[in-house]
Amino acid sequence: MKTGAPRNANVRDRQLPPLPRHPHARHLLAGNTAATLEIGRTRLLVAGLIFALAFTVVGGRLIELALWSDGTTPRLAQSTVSPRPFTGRADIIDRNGVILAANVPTASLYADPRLIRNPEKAAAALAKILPDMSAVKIRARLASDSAFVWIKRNLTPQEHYEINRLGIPGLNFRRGVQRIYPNGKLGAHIIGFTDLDTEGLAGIERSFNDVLKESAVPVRLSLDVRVQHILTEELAATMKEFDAIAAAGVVMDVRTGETLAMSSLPDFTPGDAGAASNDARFNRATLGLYEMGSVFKIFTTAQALDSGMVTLNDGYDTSKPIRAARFTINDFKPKNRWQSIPEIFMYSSNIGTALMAKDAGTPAQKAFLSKLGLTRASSIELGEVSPPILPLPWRDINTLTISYGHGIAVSPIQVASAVAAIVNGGELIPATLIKREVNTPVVVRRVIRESTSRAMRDLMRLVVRHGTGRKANAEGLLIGGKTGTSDKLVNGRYVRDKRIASFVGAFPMNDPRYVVLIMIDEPKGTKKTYNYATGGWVAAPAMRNVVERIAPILGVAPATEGFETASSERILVRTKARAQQAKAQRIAVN
Amino acid sequence: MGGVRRMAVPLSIVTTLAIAVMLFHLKQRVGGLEKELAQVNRTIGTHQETIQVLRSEWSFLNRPANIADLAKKLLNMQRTPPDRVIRLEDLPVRAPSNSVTQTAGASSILPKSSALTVRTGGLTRQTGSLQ
Repeated sequence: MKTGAPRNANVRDRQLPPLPRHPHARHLLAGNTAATLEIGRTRLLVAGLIFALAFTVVGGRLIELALWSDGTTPRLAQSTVSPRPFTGRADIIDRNGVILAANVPTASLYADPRLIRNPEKAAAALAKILPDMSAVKIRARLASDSAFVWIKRNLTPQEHYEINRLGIPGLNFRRGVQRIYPNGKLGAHIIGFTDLDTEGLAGIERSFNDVLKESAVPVRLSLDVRVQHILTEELAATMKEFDAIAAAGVVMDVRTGETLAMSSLPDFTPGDAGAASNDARFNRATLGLYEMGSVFKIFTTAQALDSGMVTLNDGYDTSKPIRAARFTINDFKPKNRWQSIPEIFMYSSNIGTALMAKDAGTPAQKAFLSKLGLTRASSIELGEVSPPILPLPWRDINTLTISYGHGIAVSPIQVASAVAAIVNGGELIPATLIKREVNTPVVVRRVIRESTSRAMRDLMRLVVRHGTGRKANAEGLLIGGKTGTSDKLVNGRYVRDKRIASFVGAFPMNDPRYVVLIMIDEPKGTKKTYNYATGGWVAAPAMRNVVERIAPILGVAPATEGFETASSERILVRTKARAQQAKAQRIAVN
Repeated sequence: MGGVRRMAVPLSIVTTLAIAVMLFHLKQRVGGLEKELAQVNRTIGTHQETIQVLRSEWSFLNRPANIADLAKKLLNMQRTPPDRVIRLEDLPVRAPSNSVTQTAGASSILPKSSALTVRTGGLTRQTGSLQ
């Protein structure tokens, strides 16, 4: 109180006497002075209160933050550190995180020859570190008069370090990035490649160019390098054994449509794609179109069974060749008798299958193949995809030949997808090269009934147990499938000695997990195969080798005896009985 | 009262000076820390680049073809024949009295010298020695 009042500037100037201490003294004061003093005090009090309130609020907030903050408030320290180094282009990795393509910082060596005092010595020292460059060559470059000459682009870290250690003035480094493909040729057609400015030119590098450029998060493919390696190695071995000109293969998860491996031979090195021939860069699995031959009998048979037109007990007389237009449809190994549907499929009768398609009709075949995605380009995430070659117009004669895989050309990836739908319970899942995360919904489309799928599995298993695909039988792995051999069209004519040998199958047939497709272009028969170069002799053994090697990696345990499905056994017994009957009838007729 | 007023001016000057000095020191320290942070960030960047190079190299060394070659050269191993692989749940149970003895019984049945693939949650792990 003593000093409170005089501090007010207005009041101080008037030289007021000290305030009386009496409690009622205020009433003794009169006039302007007392009123002004009162106003001053009130203002002081109000201002003080406001400040006190403000500080209380700030203090309260401080306590709240200190005691009740849940740690979600962003911290400065986190935002200053970038989570990944920016290399300009994201990595491509396989399903297990193995790097398939990555941008790596590199140093390139250049020199300012004017600053180098002893070019002889510098050239000799550099030649020791850079094994692919001679001292003479380096010396020649250092003789230049300019202020800048490249010595070597994209040094390895080791070379960089050692040159740095030489400490020669005039040698400098320019930093840059280089796109590298640690796995070399493996998966080259899928990964693709980039130009010198790391712009994608082919494969995933092209189709995911924008994604790779904009994000630091790697693109995770559905590929498994181990499976890819095995498939490629077996295809190459088969190609070599049968002196073939090319090969293609696919391994696909039937439940997710994920492509675990996709090979096309001959192949190329993505890091040096410019040196590769167009033939080597051609992706036969997606861009190549082939008449797949008897592999198509899977679809014709599935269609006939699914429509209810025939059952496994029905059959056709396959003793007479079909003559339609200028074609004659024959069997490769004629049985010359009535055959049941399982026999037609197991022994790959063209006549029987064509009759099945004839009964079903052209519109039904068209609709069924279209449902299986065989009449339009595959949806796989690559730019290098061809739409199939379909007959135009689709006449009845086309229906007959298409039933056993001639007169329609499709890409191997389409066939793998369609077969996956046939064996997985009857649902078509779009093929993909990108790993599907668990629990992400996939658009599936039912193409055949579940019971048809089961019957087809049994039939495909029988092909491998007793039919044309016996060489694909791997102990305990329950492989099922269908062989295919088709003559190649050369200048509009089918040539007998140039053919495509193929095998499409799945395993294990009691609960299919993976579809494997093997396709060998122009194999030549060997002594070992008695000069046969058919799907059963060429592609089936490759199928067996691939499956035997990939099954342990993919966690498919081999089944022990007794795992053959009971229904497949029943079909076999009944089929054998019918065949005996048919044989007896034929003898009786003759 | 006069004393207090005389003291107030030097006191405030001293306080101001003290605050200024403290602020200056704080600023210096922040500057130093910022430099250090930049340095650490640069180091992190270099390390990350190195890691990227090393990861690529790791992928390169782990090429399946390379591993296959090395395994052929250095390991005396063969493919496991299907009849040597058995599922844990297919193993015969010796004493079905309670679960503890079941597990004990199962593990004692495992052939010690032969290859055994144990299926655990989709992964296949090979144990045992191969001749």
